[in-house]
Amino acid sequence: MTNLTNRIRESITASGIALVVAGLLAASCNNNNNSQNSCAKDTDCAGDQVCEYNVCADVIDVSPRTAQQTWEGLYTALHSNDLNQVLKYFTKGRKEYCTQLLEGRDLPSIADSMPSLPLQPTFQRGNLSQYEIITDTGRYGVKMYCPHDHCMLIDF
Amino acid sequence: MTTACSSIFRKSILAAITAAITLTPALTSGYSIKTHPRLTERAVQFYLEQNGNSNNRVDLDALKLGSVNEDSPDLYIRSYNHFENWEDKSGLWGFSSAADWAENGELQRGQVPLDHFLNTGLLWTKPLKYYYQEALGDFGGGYPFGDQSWQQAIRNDNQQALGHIAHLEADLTVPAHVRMDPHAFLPAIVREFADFELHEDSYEIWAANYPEAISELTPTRIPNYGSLRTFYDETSHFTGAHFSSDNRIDTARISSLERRVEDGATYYYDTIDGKDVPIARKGFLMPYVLDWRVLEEQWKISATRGVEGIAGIITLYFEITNPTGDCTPNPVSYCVGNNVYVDDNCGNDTLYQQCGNSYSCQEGECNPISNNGHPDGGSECTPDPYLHCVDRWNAVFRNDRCGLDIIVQQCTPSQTCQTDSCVTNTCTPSSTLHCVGNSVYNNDGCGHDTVVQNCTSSQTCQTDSCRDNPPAEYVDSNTRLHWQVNVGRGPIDEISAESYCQSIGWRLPTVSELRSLIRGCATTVTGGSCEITNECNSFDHCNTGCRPCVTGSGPDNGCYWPNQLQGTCSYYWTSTVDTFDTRANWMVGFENAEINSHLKWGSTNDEGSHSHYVRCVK
Repeated sequence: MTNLTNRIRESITASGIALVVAGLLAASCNNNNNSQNSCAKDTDCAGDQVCEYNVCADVIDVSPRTAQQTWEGLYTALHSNDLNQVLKYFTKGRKEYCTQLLEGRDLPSIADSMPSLPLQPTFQRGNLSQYEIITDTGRYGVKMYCPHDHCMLIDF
Repeated sequence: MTTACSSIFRKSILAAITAAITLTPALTSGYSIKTHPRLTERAVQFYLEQNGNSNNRVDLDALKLGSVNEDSPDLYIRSYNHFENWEDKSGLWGFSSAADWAENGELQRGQVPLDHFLNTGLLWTKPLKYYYQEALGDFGGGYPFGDQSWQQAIRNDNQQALGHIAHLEADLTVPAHVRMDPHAFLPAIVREFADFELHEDSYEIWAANYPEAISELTPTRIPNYGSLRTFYDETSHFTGAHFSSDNRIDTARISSLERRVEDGATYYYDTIDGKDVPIARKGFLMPYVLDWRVLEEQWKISATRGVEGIAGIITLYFEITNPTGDCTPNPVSYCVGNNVYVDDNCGNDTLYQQCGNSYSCQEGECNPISNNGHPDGGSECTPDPYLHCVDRWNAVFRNDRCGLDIIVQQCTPSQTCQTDSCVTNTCTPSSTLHCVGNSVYNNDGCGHDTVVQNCTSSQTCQTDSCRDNPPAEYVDSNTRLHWQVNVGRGPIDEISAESYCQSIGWRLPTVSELRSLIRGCATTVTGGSCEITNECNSFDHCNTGCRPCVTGSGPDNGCYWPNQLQGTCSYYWTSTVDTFDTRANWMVGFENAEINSHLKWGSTNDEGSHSHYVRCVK
């Protein structure tokens, strides 16, 4: 893993011509203003962000997480009425949509309406999987994306 | 669970993400770089199946490379130009639409407008040297620019450019790209080192993660739309009209579709090309979802359309460059001066490539000139101290010796780039006004004109001011009647003349009224010897003393009417019926100030044609 880190850093430095040019631009153009995201250490950044390459950046969790763990984690987050935690179980691209969908709603009651576990897979192709949940109103699909065994919800 | 993440790997991802965020404030994508070459290859295969005997040479590797390069390097933001609103054909966030992007070589030089919110002052200035510009610009260009010759068409770099064009066609089969649904992804640097596919649109995820899906496509026809733009427009409309994306679910449309409950699951079906297709599924948390089954069915339709569209674009490419289909390749090329020439049966000694200043023609190829001889020495593509202005951006650029311009200084609005630096303007506004369109502009002395006055719809900008349009009405001071200045209609029959005047809220004049417009003819002016009036309207009894005047001798350039009137100097209908023969109405001929009776419609009689002009009155 350490080697991987170094390779990424080296690649950004070596093949990332853009970074070099960006530096040239910054030196050349006095109007370059990136102070909003610039930082020297993690504490300069808001929230969960950290300081990397003098820029505040989000952290993405890529630790292994099965579909079942994702479903259970979502249930727990909903039951805790913690929207930010809920959003971490979805892909990043769904964050805005889910925020609009869930903001102001009674999240614990959504959790209570979720069917019992375990999930049963009905579709599996590589990193793509789908599970089905059955409630008294019908059968619903739970669509997940699990690259590197890190499952994320897309929709259900 | 979050804390269980390996901190090293977490940092690894973080570092790459940071680089991406540093350079790209937001990211969008189309199909994965895995999917594009698959689709392009399938399209080329289909094209060759349909054109097996063609001489046209398709360089599959070049097309595939171009289709990949349209999204790379990811640090540049071409993907922002890969959208096209299926309804109004606009682009994303003010960027060009896919069609505009494909057709405009200047846009493809790869700069975000300096006043665009995405221009952070970092790096949006790298021209697309190695792709569009080099393939289509520097050396004479190929489709759709410049020299549209077959010799250009079969060149590897131009076929790479065709691959870029194919990429755009494929992207427009992605609903997110036509429903203006930007969807983040991480650039190749992350994918390469973290091997982590993070496209954030589930349709694209499906396509990228299921490579076997390409075998499910069954193209059947090569469309012929005649222009690249039409291909893009048709494709974007088809995609947008039928399919939704993750974050742009067309709930109104889906709710109107046929609802089917299948083993407890509710799907919504549409009929596309005669086939029932599930468009969405009822969701548990979300109202509608696009489950993997829906996306698989969508893929079969959308991606098939994409393959057919790309094959159609390849066909168009060769229809333009080899319309007779007679050209056959001759691989021999040679240098003449610093230019590459080739020979073939479509044009002997055809100029194939101009090597320009940065390349040298050697053995029939343009090869980059080494920088070893440069006064500053150094490796290839190192910054060149040569500064120059690029007028379009009003900025100072320098050259990297490989032809890439890099911005050094953006001049402010109060500055102008002159030679190699920004010079403060000394603008002296000019009092000179001029018209642009229907507005008056001034001149600020620096070439930036501003609007002084927008002329109204009843005005026209003439020379330097708004001037009132000529009145549409002429008011006769003698009768106080209002007349159309311009001829309303004609030549038409009398019935149609009456209908026309009524339709615009006016009326067809009576014979006394129209006669009152006669000027300069003593017999037929109002009060003259001619006895025809509204009251005395029988040809048999009243047509006396009506001898007309000399043709073409009236006071208004030969016409016997007031000079305020315009239009053809000829016969004009009145609404007064000739009571001697009620099939006829009275009319006035202004060419000779004649008052006469003509049949309203039907066949002509001895008096001449039944079709005359109309000037309405009120």
